Amino acid sequence: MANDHETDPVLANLLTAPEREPDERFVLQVRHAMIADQALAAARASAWRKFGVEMAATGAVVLAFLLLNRGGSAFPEGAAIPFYHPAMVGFLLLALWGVVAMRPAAAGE
Amino acid sequence: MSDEDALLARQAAGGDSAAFTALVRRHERRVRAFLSRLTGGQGADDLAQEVFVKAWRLAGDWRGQGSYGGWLMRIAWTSYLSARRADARRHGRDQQDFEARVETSGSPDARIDAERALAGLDERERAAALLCFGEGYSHGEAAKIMDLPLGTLKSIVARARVKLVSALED
Repeated sequence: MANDHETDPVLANLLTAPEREPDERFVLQVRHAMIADQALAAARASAWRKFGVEMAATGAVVLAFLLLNRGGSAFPEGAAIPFYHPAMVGFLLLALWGVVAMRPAAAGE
Repeated sequence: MSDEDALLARQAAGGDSAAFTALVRRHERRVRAFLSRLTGGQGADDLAQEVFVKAWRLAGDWRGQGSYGGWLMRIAWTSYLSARRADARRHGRDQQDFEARVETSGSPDARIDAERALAGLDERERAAALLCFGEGYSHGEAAKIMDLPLGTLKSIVARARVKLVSALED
């Protein structure tokens, strides 16, 4: 068998990719794929953000009802709820949820 | 490393898609040829497109150690391995499929001998031979691309050389 100095140039000659001009069709395909990938990444990020907001809102509503349920029975019917009572925090959370749910961006989705 | 590649890669890392497109234009021939010979041609262009999209996503990670072409080849090699594993899981394919594709490719080119010789190598030998002989990477660069110790890469290249020469002499 010939030595490496003789065989390597022959192998290089056989295995080197032939020279040619850039394939503009392939370049364009990659550009389209890049744009699609960016759009997909943006949609995914937006979906995760929306999911986070919805989860926080659901948590707030559940917490609000828990607080209202805990504090509601301690008062006689018609009595005012003190400002620093857990039930008031419940009302506040419900109000915040209402504001978030009815904001123009959420309504437009 | 090409200064122009480094400049374009820095611009691409900053989100410049035109600079990245210029890099695609400069490197697509080598990446596609490498993948085409690794896969026997089947699905090579789809894989090459995936490689460039991955490179665009990871553009900010390129730190300028080694050549940009080598960095791309590394992505190409790992993408090839993932695709091959996924393909094998789906269809239970193996090395014989590649050999069959090469045997039936019917290229009139004299390079068909080299393609047949390549088909007789396992995938690591094939990749190492293509990088070191075909693309002119040093053993050190090829070892980085294939994520192998230098000594292991040298052994693989030596084995590939013997097999290629033997196949070409037949």
